[in-house]
Amino acid sequence: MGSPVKKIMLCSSEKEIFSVEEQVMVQHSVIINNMIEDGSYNHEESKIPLDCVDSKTLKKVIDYCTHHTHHHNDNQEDLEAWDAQFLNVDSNGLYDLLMAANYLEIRNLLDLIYGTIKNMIKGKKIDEIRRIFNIKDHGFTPEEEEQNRKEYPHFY
Amino acid sequence: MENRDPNCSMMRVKRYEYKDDLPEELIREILLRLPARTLASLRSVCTSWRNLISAPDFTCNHLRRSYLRDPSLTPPQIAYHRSFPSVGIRVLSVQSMMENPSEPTRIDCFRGPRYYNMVGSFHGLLCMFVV
Repeated sequence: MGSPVKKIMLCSSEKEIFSVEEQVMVQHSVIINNMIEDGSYNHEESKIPLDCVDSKTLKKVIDYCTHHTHHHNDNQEDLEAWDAQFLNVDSNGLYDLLMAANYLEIRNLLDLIYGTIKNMIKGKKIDEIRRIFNIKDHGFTPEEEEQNRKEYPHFY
Repeated sequence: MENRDPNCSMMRVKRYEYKDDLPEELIREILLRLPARTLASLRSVCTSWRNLISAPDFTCNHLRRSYLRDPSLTPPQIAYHRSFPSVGIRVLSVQSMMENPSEPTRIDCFRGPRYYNMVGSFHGLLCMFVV
């Protein structure tokens, strides 16, 4: 009898259950790998509750891990094109993915998102950066702000 | 249906709060990937970014990453002045101390005109002039 593909259950913040190949998540998520290794996940009855990951984001994360597990032999160009398409989301979506990848410790996804955000920052003016990161109170005194403005005029 | 509305708005409020609090650890990871030139101006984004970027451990981490990415960069070195047995600036490679802490560190001697004055230093960069 061929052994069936082992699955694990992930539960989103909306309590929606996603069934995923164990190997896919173990390979990508440090946290899930640790849970399986130390035996804290019971295949008969456990669900892994991911209270800070909503269903939409969790589905994306699972897509990412599944694709990278099954297509890791693809050529680099194809994978990069797939990644670019994958991260073609609005800033809220990117933010949610970042938080989820951080929570689940999915290092290659984290690197991908960090790289994308890095490119969003490059060449931007200060107001745009404050808007992207939703920084409402910069905390500088008017004198400091004036000094910064003098020091980096091109940035304002 | 009536139950859904408060739920929805609660979720939205929660998400908004998240967005305000991108954890410092994640901001640091993003900033570490940016070139030093960009970081200099990013210090004026807000005080928490300024503190993050100006912290010595951030500088050290950033330097290490830049060096790993592009080994052609001048590796970090420590310079000191010594007048015996001969006057000159000695330079120690920080990298060799980090990578092989048990090995004696090779010291390069920078000889030139005999007298230097130290003008100052900023984040490990020395400014000297020849008397």
